[in-house]
Amino acid sequence: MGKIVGMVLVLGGVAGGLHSWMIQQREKQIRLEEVIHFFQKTMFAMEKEKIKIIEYFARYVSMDGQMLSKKESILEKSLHEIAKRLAANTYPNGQSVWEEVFEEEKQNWAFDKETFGVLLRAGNGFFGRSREENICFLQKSIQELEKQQEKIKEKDSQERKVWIPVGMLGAVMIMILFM
Amino acid sequence: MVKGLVTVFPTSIRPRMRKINWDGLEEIRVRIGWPVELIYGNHNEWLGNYDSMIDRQCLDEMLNYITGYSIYAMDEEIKQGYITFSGGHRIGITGHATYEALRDTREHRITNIIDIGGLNIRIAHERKGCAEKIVPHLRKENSIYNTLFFAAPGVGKTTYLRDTIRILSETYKISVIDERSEIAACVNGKAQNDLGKRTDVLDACPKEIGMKMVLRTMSPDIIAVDEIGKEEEFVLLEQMRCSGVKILGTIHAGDIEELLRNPMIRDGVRTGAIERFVELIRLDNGQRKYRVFDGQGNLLWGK
Repeated sequence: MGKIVGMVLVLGGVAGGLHSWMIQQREKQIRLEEVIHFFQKTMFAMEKEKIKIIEYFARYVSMDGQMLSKKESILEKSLHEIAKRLAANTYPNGQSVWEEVFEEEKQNWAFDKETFGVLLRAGNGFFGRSREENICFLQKSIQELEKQQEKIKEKDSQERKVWIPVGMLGAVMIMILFM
Repeated sequence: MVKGLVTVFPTSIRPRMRKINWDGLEEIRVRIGWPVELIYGNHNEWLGNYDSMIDRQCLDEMLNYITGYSIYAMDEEIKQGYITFSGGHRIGITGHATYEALRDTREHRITNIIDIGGLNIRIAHERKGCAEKIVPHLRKENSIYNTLFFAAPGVGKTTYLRDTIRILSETYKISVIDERSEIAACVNGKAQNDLGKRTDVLDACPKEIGMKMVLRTMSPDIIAVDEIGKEEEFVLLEQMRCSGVKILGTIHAGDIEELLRNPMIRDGVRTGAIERFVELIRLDNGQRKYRVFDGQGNLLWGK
């Protein structure tokens, strides 16, 4: 009886661990996708009208955020925080606020160094001197993020190919040991 | 509302700005390489000394605060040389202007102002009741005379126009074409200054377009505009006269003789599109005095 319970626990643990890892990877991709959507939306808005950055950030509502397990979008939260800090008129430029807030959320973003670097620099696409400059910068950021997205997807599928069989094999081994 | 202006200054000089005397302050001038200059009705002061000079970073910081970190969205205003700040304060801009020649004309168009080197913050004052003595001289039977307020820059034409609108709106439906957002100082569609209960504001709209629009849609008794000067605006005054709408406006001029030398004004007087002039004069003590003239320049009231 003890052996059966032990085996069930081991199997459950391995399956749960793999599932949670896969969710984390998926959410990372959703977050990246959400950022790309946001930049695309902003580019479109900047082409059509003269958006005021503080109001635009403060009003941002994430649709992609609904797909996350915690139902909380880090992007939405970060943008609202940036708007709040900008409205206080105490930072000499907008880019420094962008970087500060995103750095504070670094753990939650869980991006690799390269992707996070693109995200930090992307703030320049909101606080430039002209519409053309902003749009150009956002466009470049989108391209870079899309490249990162491809890399992450590739890396994920490779890791999945390794970790799922390893996990399963490990579980079988433990089961054999129990028997 | 005026003290809220402190937050447009660089954080390094804000403590000093909080201590200045805001009563009677008319302009704040900020120039690279100089301390901030405060201009009152009858004197000026410098904020600090050579230890508190404004540099390029300070000015860039101020521009971020003034534009809500959206400098790019203010490019049209910057090209025109001014930004209207919340509360109706107008911020004039100087720097290096770039321009292009317009095809088939001798005129030029400013394409940008780069290397911004100076700002002039003209503080909007809402002085309720300042026009009470003037308004009776503008009324006739069931209407008012088409009237222009005139003075040199910075004397208070807009302030007096605003109060005249407020008083007259008790009786008449007034539409304000607030091209530079200085009369009503609208923020998110709500006028920050009191223009009376029967006043409608078309904010940030060119006068020549706005006057025609409100005439068709708002059925106003009076249309009020700030800073008339272009030829097409004078043509519109004549059209308004033919439509039975009265006009209140302001114009730059040093004195009545100078004003009447303007051929467009003379035409306006001849056709009846302009019937009264109100001159505003700043006295040495910072107080204002005013005189009312008829279209021919005859003094009707005041000394």
